[in-house]
Amino acid sequence: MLQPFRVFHTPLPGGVDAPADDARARRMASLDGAIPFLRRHRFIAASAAIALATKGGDLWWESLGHRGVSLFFIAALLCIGALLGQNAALYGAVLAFACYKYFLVPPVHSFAMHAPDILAFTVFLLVGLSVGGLAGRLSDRAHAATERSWELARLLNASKDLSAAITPEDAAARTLAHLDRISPGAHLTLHEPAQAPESIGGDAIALGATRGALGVVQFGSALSPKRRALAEGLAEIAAIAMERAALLQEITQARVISEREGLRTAMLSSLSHDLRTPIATILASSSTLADAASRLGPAQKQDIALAIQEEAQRLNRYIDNLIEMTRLQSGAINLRKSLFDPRDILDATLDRNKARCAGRALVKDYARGLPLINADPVLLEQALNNVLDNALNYTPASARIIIGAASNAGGVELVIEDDGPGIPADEQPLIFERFFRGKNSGGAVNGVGLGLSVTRGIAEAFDGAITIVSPVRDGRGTRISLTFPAAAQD
Amino acid sequence: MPPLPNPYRVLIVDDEPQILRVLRPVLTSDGYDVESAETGQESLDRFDSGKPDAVILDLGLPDIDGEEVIRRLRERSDAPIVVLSARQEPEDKIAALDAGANDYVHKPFHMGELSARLRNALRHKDRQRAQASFYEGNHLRIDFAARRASYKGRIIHLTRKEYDILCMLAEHAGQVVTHKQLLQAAWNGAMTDHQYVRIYVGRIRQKLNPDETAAPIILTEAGIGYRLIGAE
Repeated sequence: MLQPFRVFHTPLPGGVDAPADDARARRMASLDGAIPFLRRHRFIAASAAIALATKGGDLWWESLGHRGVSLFFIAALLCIGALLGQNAALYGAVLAFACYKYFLVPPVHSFAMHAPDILAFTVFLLVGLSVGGLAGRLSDRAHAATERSWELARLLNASKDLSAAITPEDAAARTLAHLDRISPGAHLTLHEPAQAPESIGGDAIALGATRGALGVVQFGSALSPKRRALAEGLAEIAAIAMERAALLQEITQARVISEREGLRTAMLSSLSHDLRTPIATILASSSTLADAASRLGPAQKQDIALAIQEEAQRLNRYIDNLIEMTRLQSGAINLRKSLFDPRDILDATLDRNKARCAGRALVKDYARGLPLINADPVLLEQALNNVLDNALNYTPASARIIIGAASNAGGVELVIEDDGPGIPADEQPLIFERFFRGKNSGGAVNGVGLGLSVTRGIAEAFDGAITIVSPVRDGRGTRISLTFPAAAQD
Repeated sequence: MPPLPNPYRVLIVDDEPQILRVLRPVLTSDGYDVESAETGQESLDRFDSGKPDAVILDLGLPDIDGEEVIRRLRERSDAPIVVLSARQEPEDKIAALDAGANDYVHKPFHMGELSARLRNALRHKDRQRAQASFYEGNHLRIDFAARRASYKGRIIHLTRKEYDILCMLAEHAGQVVTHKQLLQAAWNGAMTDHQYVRIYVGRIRQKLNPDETAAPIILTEAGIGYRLIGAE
């Protein structure tokens, strides 16, 4: 849940910038622009426009004449209306009327009018007011609509940005960045829903959503109503985003816990079955030797002894993998790295499995001049051992196994390939999952389902990658390769 | 495996009676004269009274730390010590070897492996005593006096350091030699980086086995050192 009374101040490091590809957004980044500037000083601008028009009329009096000049003013009023709005236009119309008479129409520098001119002037004033007024009103409406759409776009932008937040703190930080653009120097305080603040002052906004009040935004200075409205809209979005982020955190935690539980269950059931199976063989075999040795021939006794040996070794491998898997899972793996020749590890793996490999067609295919690998040789040996174990378990005795080491774009590739039955395509992504056992084992399942997941875990711990290709040739075969980055030669 | 001509006396030290139960009859049938002890103190007492030729020592003893037992045994004699250990970490093995053990076997073990390591350790002692002038085993022949090595009948040209390393491995044929020991043998302690050993062993392997397809004669003991495969 949200922390009580966490205060975020501006500016924040790595703050959120308006999206670079949105020119409109850039303009929105500040509520300033050329037209709004003029509008803020509209009466001065209108006066200036009328002054210009008067001067122009004065200069071109001879060529334009009466009617030309009056139209000149009307044109100016249109512009004032279109750019500065209705109020400025109405003011401008009255001012235009006054200036026109006072400066341009004889008698000059006086408001006296000749009789025939009175009608003309009246019409002029009315037309000026109408034209300016209408243009102004249209312009005002258009401007308000544009501002509204800018605000909405701004809120949409903020909403998009906030929806990317994955923690409440992240959401608060992003909110503050957006608020800062509305009013620099804003503060954001989060608090527990139960602790609602006493009262919200004129320059503060409460953040609240479905779960209750989340916090308070304090602004550095008082806000204009327009900015306040924008800020309130932003605060609503922010509150929702923060709640969403908090919920997301809760869901993730719950998922992690349930996964761990699921894994523990799978491990316990695997332990129970896979520890007992070899022990059962050992017990049966050894009790036979103890009780019935006299009834057995030497070949049988030898066979039973070998069975005990194999099962004991299998148990040992299983325990090794269990321990390694537990370490990998808990992140307790001690990354002890050293430089070594990858072929060394392959040779060591073969040596470790000497007895099982005897009598099988095994081919070594090592490239020359291979770079070194920077990893833990003991762990890598275990990783490769599991792959070889798989190849030995899931292929018939007649199958050929190729052990290879080569250099490729990714670094150094260690390969164990066989021409056995292969692994079906739908099982291939699953074989690296813990406790998964393939169906295509052709009889007794010898593997335990842990080996390859440990292999993958070890490979990834040292920035390596593991891939499987099956079938390899003529619809048969499996090829598992581990690729590790080549160590920089020193 | 025919019994050795002069029965060597072997002291087995392990606090697990099951291990003793298996080792005693097997080693006896191998021709050894077997004694056993179940604690560190008992092992030292028996060593003093029995003067065995070799010791098989389990590191996980209840009273004295395994390394300490090795050190105290070394104070008394240079009899070969083969360490039995369930600990997997290379550091523990290196510490035992540095303290004076000759070789290690990790539990669970193959009886054949333990037998071989014990045999190699005793042979090494014999060779040392006899101050053999040459080494011969597994197609490798080294003439110490002439400082010449040949493999499968072919003379191998080695640099001085390569020769020193190969000699060290051959002297301990079948036994593990730590990086530290090899650094000492070739550089006399001037260098301490294990990478040097790796590079030189790589060169030696290359010279012995240019086509790289034959079985390697020098095995890597990951994290610990190297082992020359001697005559079995």
